[in-house]
Amino acid sequence: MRSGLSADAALEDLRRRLVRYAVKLVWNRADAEEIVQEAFKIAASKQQRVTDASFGPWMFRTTGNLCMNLRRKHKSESLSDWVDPPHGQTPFEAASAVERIETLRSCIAALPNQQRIALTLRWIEQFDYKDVAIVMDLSESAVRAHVHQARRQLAIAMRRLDDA
Amino acid sequence: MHECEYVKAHIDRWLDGELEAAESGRFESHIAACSSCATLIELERSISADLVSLDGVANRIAHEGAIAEQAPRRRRRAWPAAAAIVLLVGVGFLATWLTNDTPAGPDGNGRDIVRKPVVADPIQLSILLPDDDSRLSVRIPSDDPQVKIIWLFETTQARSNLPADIDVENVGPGDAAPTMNRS
Ligand SMILES: [Zn+2]
Repeated sequence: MRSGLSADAALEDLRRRLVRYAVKLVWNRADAEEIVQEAFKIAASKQQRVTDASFGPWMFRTTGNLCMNLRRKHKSESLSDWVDPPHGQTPFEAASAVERIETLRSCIAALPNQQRIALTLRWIEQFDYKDVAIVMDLSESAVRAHVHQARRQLAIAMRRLDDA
Repeated sequence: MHECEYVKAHIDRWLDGELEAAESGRFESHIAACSSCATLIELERSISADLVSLDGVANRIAHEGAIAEQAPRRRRRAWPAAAAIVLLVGVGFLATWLTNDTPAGPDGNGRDIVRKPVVADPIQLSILLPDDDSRLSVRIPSDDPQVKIIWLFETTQARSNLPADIDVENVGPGDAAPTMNRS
């Protein structure tokens, strides 16, 4: 994987990245941890080789799929407890910042699965389209189409919020 | 109207910074002239920024959840100014290079220390101060194979204790996390 990292450290690094990714889909750390553990179990049962270049993308794909099929054990975190501290904002502005990202989150959660994953990887996880395509096992143009659709949905939701 | 369609058709590539110079010239000169397209672009920009905030929130949940489970505490919604000042004035860094097999855990002052292996990409470490959950993030880019772990703890010791090749950037309360650069 990365130079200068032992295999264990590289795996631990991947595990943490996967947990962060899963949190972006299920918004709860306990569920995210469990899902990533499950993804590693599946990898072991399918004899995925951790040294393969495809292992990381495969793990992201598997983690994403498990997140989509989650039977929720824990509630999503309320974002107001976690949002960045407001910087020179009035309480009203701070509340509206929370409302904005809560709205975004629920709008993303309501997207079709492929759109939701494509958008999360591209715009929250900040992957390149090329890498999103590898993770999703789709063409880059298919990914772009999903992201485009997703962003249009978000724009509609956010405009509604702004107009309200 | 033709130009408005042009803007709509190129929004994604513009957001991705993928437009050629001529295309972005056309795109931006229309935005400058058309208030409804300007509003549209403003909305898209704010959505991108909000998605980045969402990323930060998720990373915090992923990162700090573990510590919250060990010792549940009431979280604050924001850094109160006083806590931020304590962080900036009272917190120095003592960074020690340790190897991977050093156990994680609270330091001598009972503060939880989150540590991660230092890898080629920037990674984040956090220090949680026990009484108010204020958090200080430090990014340490390094591709030095000798560098495994860095411990950071609150200390009154001056920054001069840092290894000479580490440079800590100070930031104000509410700004982005301070950055440590290995030069
Ligand atoms: Zn226009």
